Amino acid sequence: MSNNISRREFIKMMAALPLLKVAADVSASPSQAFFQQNTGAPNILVIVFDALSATNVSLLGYYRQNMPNLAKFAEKSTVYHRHYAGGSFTSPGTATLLTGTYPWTSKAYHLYATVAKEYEKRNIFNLLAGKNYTRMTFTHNNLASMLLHQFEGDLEVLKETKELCLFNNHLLANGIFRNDYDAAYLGERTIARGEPGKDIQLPSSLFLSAAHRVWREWKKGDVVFQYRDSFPRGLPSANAGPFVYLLEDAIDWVRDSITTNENPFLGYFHFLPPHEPYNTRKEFVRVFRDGWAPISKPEHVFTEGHSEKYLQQKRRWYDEYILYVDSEFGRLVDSLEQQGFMENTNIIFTSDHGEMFERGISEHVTPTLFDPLSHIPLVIHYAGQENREDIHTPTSAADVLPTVSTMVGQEPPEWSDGRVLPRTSDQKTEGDRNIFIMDAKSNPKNGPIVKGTIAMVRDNHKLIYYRGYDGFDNEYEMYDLVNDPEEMEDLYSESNTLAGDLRVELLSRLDEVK
Amino acid sequence: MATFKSLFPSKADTWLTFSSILFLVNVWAIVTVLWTVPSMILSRTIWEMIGIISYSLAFALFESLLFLIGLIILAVILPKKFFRDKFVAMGSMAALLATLGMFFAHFYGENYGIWPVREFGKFLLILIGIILVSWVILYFFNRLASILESIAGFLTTLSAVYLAIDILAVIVVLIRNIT
Repeated sequence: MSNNISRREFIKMMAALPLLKVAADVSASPSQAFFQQNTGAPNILVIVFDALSATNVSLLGYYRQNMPNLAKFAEKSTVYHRHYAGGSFTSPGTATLLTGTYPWTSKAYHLYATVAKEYEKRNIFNLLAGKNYTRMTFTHNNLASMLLHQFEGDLEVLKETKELCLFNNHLLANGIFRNDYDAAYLGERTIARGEPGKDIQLPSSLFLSAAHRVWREWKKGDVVFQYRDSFPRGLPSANAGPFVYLLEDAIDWVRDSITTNENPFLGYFHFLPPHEPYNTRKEFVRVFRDGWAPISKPEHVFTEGHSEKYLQQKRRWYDEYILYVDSEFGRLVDSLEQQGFMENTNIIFTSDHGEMFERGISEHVTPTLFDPLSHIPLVIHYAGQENREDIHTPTSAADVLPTVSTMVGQEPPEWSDGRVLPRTSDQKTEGDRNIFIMDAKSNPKNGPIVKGTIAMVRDNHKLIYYRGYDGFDNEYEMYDLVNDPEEMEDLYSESNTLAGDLRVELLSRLDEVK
Repeated sequence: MATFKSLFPSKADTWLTFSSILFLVNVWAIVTVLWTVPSMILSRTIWEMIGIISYSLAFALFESLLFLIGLIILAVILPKKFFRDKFVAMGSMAALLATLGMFFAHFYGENYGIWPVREFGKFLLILIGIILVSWVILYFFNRLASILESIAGFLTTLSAVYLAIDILAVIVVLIRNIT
């Protein structure tokens, strides 16, 4: 066979080139191009839905079937049945997830907390520094935003909250003063606040704050009115700042950012729903008017005095809001699946803390650490995973960072309080371990924990320690979480040997906190 | 040039009026800041707290300047005899009444439902009406105008301190944003 090509044949081939180009364009979707370019380096996608309690997730045994899409996602994922947050509200919960350390280590346990200086570079994003990853984040949550801005040096993309809001009243912090986000944000709050509510919050600005308030109430009302048909209970919004948004917009942005990105990516996306107010979409309103009621629990010493009826209604609205969350999560996963991302992407679905509707307490601003507050979902689809795995050993939010570290082929950092998560049920886990959850928003940032609640989970049991509260100091509770998941029977007593052992361990760990 | 300059209040009058505004705006800012910021001592460093306070005080200076500019524009527009001749008294009175009005709005606005645009518009009209009436009174009662001018004079020393603090706050904000 001759290798020579005649002039006539050459011209024919050249004429066919445009057709080949068209064929190549049609067959190569962005995601395929992405995989051709990036075989080997897996993507990591962390999806956080704020205030999502594991005790209200149908996949994990909740009565109401509120997360069918998560159940579908779990078919090719590892489900962690006993996963615990680092804290009972956003700042400590998110800091634990992002730094792989307990809040008393990172010192992020206050409202609007930032981590201690030495932890600014010890975070999940910094793990991937110099690895050609695109590290991108977005959050609706102002408390999480405070942390993300602190880690901004390790981010390629920090999408500002206001960019994905229908209305957002913040003007300064993420605008001209973004180099000083922390102080500028709190300064702006001090200047312009004056929220409706039972507590008078006086703004430090005398005149312009009034104009600002009139403007934002008018503007917000206008937007809410526009969407009244789709969101009859009001638009998703934030209690910490008067802004309104659609979860759909954030999900769309995440999908588009991922699919058009050319490098492997680490995405941390922290959506505010199902955080209160529970303003679900129209099709989910009243879905759970089923007459069902959970087991009645006695009021706790930290009761807020809410009636059972009130808590039932709150719970129902919360469950209906979770349906909205699930629907949008399902939409995102379907889109990723269609584009072939499941093969090369580790998807971590979790929350920062839980929510409670029992014992006279509503939501999560409380010193208690019962399971509805501390037990959060964790479902991980490891890249290419085809079967479901179920893990029943206790795990912590601090474990996510070391696990991400191994996902990109590096050793977990020694400074992390977490451990690499077991991937399959038959995988051996390292011996006994204690998992800690804390609420210490009234404790000084530096120094030992003198006021707060610390819970320690070990095997089947949880010991809760209340320290420094007026009239409730040095008090303990202990529950058997496996045989008494509703935490009905307090097993703590001085004579209980196990309680004594756990107490000694918890106190000795607390003594190490400086 | 001289004619254009004569449209404006004198430097002395401007400073006296600015003193009154600075005093009222800064007292409010400092009281509200002291109401909230100390609670942050548990969670923030001293430098962070200085930063947070600085934003409020820098904004107080900005707000005071805006108010003064508004009064100067009025002085340019309105007949000299009516407004510019009693710039200190009328400006200080306007600042005082506006402060009291906003004080009422911030404390009781919720109870009286004044925050919707239309209601706030009505509230502002009433406030402006009261200020106009007070100006008419000042126009006819020189004694009252003199008293207000004296008070503004007393406030200059204190306001100079506030001005210095506010300028310091601006510098802090700049430093925090540059570094």
